Amino acid sequence: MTIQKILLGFEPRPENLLSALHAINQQFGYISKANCYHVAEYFEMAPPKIYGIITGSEVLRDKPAADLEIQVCDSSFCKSKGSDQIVKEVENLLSIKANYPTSKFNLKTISCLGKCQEGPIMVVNGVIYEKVNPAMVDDILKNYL
Amino acid sequence: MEKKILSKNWNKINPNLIQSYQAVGGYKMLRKCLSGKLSPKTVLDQITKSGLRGRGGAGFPTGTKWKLALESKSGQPKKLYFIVNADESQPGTFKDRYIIEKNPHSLIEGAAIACYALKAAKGFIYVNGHHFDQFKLIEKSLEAAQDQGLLGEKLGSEKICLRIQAVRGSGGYIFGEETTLINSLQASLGEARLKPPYPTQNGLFGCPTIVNNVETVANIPTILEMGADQYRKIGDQDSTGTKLFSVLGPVKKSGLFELPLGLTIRELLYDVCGGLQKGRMLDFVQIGWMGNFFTRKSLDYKIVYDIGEKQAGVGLGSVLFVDKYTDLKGLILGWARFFERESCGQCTPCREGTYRLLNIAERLEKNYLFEKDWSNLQDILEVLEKTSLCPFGKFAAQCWQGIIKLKGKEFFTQAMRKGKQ
Repeated sequence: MTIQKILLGFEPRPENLLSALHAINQQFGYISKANCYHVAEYFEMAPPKIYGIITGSEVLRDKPAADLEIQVCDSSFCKSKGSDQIVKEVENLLSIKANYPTSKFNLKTISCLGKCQEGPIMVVNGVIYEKVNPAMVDDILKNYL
Repeated sequence: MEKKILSKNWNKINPNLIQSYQAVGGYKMLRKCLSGKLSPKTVLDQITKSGLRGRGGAGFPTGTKWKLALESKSGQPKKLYFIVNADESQPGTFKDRYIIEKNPHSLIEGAAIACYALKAAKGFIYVNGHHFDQFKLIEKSLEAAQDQGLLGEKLGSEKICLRIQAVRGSGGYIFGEETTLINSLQASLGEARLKPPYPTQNGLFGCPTIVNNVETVANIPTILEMGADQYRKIGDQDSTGTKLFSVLGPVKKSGLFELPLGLTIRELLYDVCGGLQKGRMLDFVQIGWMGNFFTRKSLDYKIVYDIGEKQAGVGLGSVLFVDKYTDLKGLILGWARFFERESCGQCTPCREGTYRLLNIAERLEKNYLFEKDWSNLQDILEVLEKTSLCPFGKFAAQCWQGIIKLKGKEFFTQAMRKGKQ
């Protein structure tokens, strides 16, 4: 589907902007600069404002996703259940550093997903793993490498 | 102890099927509204009379909020918007997720009744961007309700128009703050606005807007069904009804419970959660928001909305029991990380303050605090609490102030770096 086709699915009203951005994000994996201009033109807004909304969001992307997108919750309850060890384990296994994305891997620490009871939580390419412990990390990541 | 009103149909119905909800009496109240048996005024009166208070934490009376918005609309050619805040993202809270996943139609019915009572031009359900499944489920449920003739244009004999749109949010804690949510909906940057003017006067597109929490809205059909007088009998005098509590910590039974407001912390701990696990000893309990701590001495405090003598503010209803084995410094670091990450960066006290607090928390965990950290901490907290634009900065400060009040200066001096500095 082209960008124009996606945009035509939405009435150009401000309340539909987020939905349109989410649709583009899902179709292409990210919202490129060129697409930003298309959206701006369609909604009659300034392109920097669109870009600001994209970068201010935790879900929308302005760059293509890495091959492996890993997220680990490290706030409050998951932290007290030992999510730091999981972050360390992933860092060691993939030789990366959290919150410093490369084109291959992106390990991001995130806030609560509302699954505190099932914590610690690890999300790999959109799949949520519950009650993760450091020993499980290797097995989980093997499915993706 | 548990009192299931809102959650009475959970696990009995299939959340994916509207017929399943209708089989247990769902949409009965909305149909009554559409057929003209329940006037908007009656709905408003019932909600006001029931004493329902905002379940999103602040506890503002819902009926009063509705009246304020209606007042600022009257006599002006303005529209009125109704928004359901489903952007739940506070650590340790998962009540809205359960409502949406177990019974999305109760939320939609509540929102539709609210839109009907307020004669709202449009209703929105703003779902947290991270929770794509919830958004899909709500969108599907809205379509099903539309197919049944419960939402849409020219409904019933009085040709009522009820339009509700689900919006997938940007994702992030700050979008749950009502003015930020409104900004995000009207395609502005996700930043908080100065209050006043409150959204009830100047909200979405400059029109009076009501932002209600998921739990508040889901309660509306139940209140109308049982009647305001019956609903008032549950709970405490000024905090009526039931509340969903998300309980975490080393207790025998943790998870989500629907409990009448006004119960004591002791009842919550022993009658509902079955006490602490074997060999554990309670250090303190955090209720509602970060920094709202209660020790074992205050177990007989009542959990209600107001904060007074022998009262514990309920806030969002999240409860975290902390025992002596819990790594408290790790917990503080977790909170500090959360606040640093989720600060939107609009106002300087919050942007800089949360970052400095994270640095201090990191040093605290390593027992490597500098001597000046203690005085710096006081300064940061004071500025953060007094000058930050939206309540987020105040929450960040409250969490530390709670710890200082609970553990005293010693907790910090013990963690100071040894040797010459």
